[in-house]
Amino acid sequence: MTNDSRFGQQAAGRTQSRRGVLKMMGGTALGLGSLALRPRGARAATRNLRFWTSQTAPAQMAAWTEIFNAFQAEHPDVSVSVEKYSDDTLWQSLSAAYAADDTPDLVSYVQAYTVATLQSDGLVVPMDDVIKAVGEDDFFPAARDIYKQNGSYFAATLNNQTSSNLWYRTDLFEAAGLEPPRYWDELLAAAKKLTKGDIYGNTLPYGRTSMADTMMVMFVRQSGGHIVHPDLSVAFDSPETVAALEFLKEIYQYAPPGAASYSWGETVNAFITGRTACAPYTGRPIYLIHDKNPALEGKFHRVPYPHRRDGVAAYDSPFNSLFIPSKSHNVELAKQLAIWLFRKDNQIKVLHTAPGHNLPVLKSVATSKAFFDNPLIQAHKGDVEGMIETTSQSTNLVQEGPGFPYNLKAGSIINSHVLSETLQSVVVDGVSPKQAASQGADKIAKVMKD
Amino acid sequence: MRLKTSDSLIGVAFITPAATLFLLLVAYPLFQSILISFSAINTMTLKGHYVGLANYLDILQDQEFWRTLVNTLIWTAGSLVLQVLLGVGFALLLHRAFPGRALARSLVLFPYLLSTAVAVLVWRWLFNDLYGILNYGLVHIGLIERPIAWLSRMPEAMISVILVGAWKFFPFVVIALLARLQTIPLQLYEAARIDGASAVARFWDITLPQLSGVLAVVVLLRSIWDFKEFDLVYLMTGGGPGIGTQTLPILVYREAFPQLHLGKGAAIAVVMLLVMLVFMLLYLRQSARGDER
Amino acid sequence: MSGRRALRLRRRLLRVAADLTTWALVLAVAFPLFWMLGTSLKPSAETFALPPTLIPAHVTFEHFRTLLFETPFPTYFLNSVIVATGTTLLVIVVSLLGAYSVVRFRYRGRRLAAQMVLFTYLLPAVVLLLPLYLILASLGLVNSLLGLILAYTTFAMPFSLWLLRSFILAMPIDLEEAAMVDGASRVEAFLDVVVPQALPGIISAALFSFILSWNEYLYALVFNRQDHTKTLPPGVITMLQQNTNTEWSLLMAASVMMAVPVIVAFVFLQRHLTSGFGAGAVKG
Repeated sequence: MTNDSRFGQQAAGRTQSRRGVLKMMGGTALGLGSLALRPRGARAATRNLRFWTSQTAPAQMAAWTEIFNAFQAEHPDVSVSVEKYSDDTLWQSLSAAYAADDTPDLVSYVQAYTVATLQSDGLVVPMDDVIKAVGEDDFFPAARDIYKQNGSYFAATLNNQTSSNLWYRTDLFEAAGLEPPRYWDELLAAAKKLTKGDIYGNTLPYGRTSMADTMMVMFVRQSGGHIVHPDLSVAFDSPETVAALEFLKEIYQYAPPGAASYSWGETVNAFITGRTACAPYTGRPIYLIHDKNPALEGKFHRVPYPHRRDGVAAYDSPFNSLFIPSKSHNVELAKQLAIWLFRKDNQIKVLHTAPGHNLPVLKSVATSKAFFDNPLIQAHKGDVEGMIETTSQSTNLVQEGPGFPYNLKAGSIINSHVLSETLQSVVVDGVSPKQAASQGADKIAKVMKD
Repeated sequence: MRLKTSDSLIGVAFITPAATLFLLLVAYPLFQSILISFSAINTMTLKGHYVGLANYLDILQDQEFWRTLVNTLIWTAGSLVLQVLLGVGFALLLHRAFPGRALARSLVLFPYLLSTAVAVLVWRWLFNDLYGILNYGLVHIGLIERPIAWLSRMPEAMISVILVGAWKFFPFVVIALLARLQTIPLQLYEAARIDGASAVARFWDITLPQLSGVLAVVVLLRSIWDFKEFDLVYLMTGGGPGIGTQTLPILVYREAFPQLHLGKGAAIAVVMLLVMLVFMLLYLRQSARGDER
Repeated sequence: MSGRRALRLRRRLLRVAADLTTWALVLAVAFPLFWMLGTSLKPSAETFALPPTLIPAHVTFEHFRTLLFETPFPTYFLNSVIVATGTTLLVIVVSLLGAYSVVRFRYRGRRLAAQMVLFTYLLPAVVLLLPLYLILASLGLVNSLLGLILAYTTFAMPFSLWLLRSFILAMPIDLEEAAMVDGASRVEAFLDVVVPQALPGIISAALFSFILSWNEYLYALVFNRQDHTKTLPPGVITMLQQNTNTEWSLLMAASVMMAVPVIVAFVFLQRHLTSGFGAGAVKG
């Protein structure tokens, strides 16, 4: 069994300490297990690049393997290993990796706010070479500039998506004589009208999870408010937040009974199994309905998520990043791998693994025939184009709008679940929206100070 | 027994591996945990400094801590009572001879051996709001009108967690009691029957007093284990809705990992330990009494 | 005469009623397990059919196939096997020696050792979680199976020590003495006399160590974050928390597969299991 990190250590001139021996034993013991995830050719290689991703469905693993095998063919002395992390525990995984000096070389699909926090602690490597090599102008500006600070890029958006979509059932809306909603009041009226029998009018994630946290950011902004002011003082305790909470409380009545613990999985399940008339989600329903519940094919569409009539159109995206941890032992190679992942054919390979969910960040890809050359994307062309349009207008809590400085505590705000807790206190504990907004603001202030 | 110097050397040699592992993996970490609880340390960077009693003062003034402590006590007491009631009931039922007893015993003991992760998956599927068989069955037979949000409202969530905890852990009580029931002399029952005692009277006058010693130990053990239970509660509800079902181990985990406050997490763990010490002393006394008998 | 017959009939009816009640209650307790098995055999679409089917309308093994060939489940399974077996072997050897030493030898600190064991047995896992994590990190054993094995000895070893101690305590010393009179050394007496006699206790302790490590979640969650060193409990929970849709039939299939080793161990060694409980866990 070739344990490549071991060779790396020897090359670095370290002696085999007791620690090294123990590590070796650990490595040997787990050797069998890790074989399965390594692309072919790993054994002969001398340098191992560790690639972290949260995207490891079978189709995605196949795409990574294909892309990395081609990379290895061009770099015979390199092997790339794919390691999986899960979104809900990413922060813990990263802590453990940094603490144990066991970081990967290239990390993908981490949200913008997390990367910004890592950047502020000096834990990532600048990526200007990568952006320049790919072509600065080819990026949608929103996707490129989210990772730009003081004229330098510390990460790159690999692809993007948005959950600021309202998926709705065209058949149910038509039968009830309803138009797709543009404003909250219209959505509320539709939800009320469509809640009947086994069908719930609307589903929203009210659980103490990342989905509710990011949705809350969107709701407050759609209401016309902000989480923080441009001077980074807390803006949460505002009439806009109260209006958003009132709307969310009102529409909670038309959600499935368990909505107060819903996260991503439950929300999309309610929609694709036909039990809710509307739900927010990324583009996944496109392929999930095709795979899991074809009976609903042709009976659903998306619109940008409605906003408050007196509010503004505001959308949120994660800006799935590629970044290189500062403790990587292979920075130059990692950059080459990043550039490799931005090649048009590789971009499209990855995008097609979850058709409609992953959206391009390069203009040349978004307008290419090859991207639309997929039966599901073709069939839902209007919805996909609409989502690309929405992502190009999206922001992220890390920078709530133009003229805002980086909010380096954005990740802490999301991870502390202050926002979803505020929402829960209103719908579960019956706290008044006004009081909840003020308590939430206090908690955010505490997180900002920490 | 011959006593030789080499003998006691062998004795020491035999205990050495266990003692080494104990010192390295239990004593030293425990000591370190106490040290950490006096400092403010970031879990990711491991940088920090000594803060004295600040973490402890912080905890004691934190409303969340007190509510979590109360939750922990509710969970412990609730599931313990159910475990004991179910445990005694099933032990008596399974002690009788009846067709298929061995299979029935295995089926009852099974939840205890199952991974908590599996138990939680199964129950979350049973509790599912849209497709759960439990809601469907209850609506179908007319007990409830609309599906119940088992895990996302209060107090339903706490009740659900307690029910699942009782289901998972009552077999332990059954096993312990079955072993003891077998050792009660049958003559005692014969004599009582001749005296004309009813079945209920025989239970109160003979069975229960005979079981009381084991029961006391079982109750203490289970209360310790329930008090420190992390997996079941965390995986059922994650402590939610809000912090409605958050127990102390979950609070420790949350402080130390997602929130990166290693020192505060350690301080809560130490407070937990102090509470547990009371239980342990009770246990030691009880088992000492048991040894005398 | 007829009065006695009526009485006997009444008794028999009562007994049948009691038997039926017992079985009804047992089946109620076991229902979640049947439901798990049933769901694992349903096609995904059938899991969200209304009304739910108690017995699968179409039986399929597709989920087991998916698990084995399209998910990291086999890796998790293998890791769990390695960790549980490794922990069991390490713990049994160490605690058998330790228990024998505590019971049969006199030296200073012997009583303290016994008390410490009990103390650890009752220690909350979460108290050791943070410092153990730091120690494993400093040894470079985070994300390794060996690290997890060491972490699991913290609860499996005290348990086994306690259980084996009570087994050896109950063993008559005469046989060992007889062997030594016949010229066996202390170590030989231990291997030839004590170990065979302690076998039922060893089996119980091994079973429990195996099951405890097979099922453990918290340490596995925190220490082993990477897929190639993940064990079953956190691995399967990750499958639940994925950001895509939740596939209950797949999760139930995973649950069934996770339960299989425990069922097998249990069926073959049930007798030892209960006696182990009686001797070690309860009497203390």
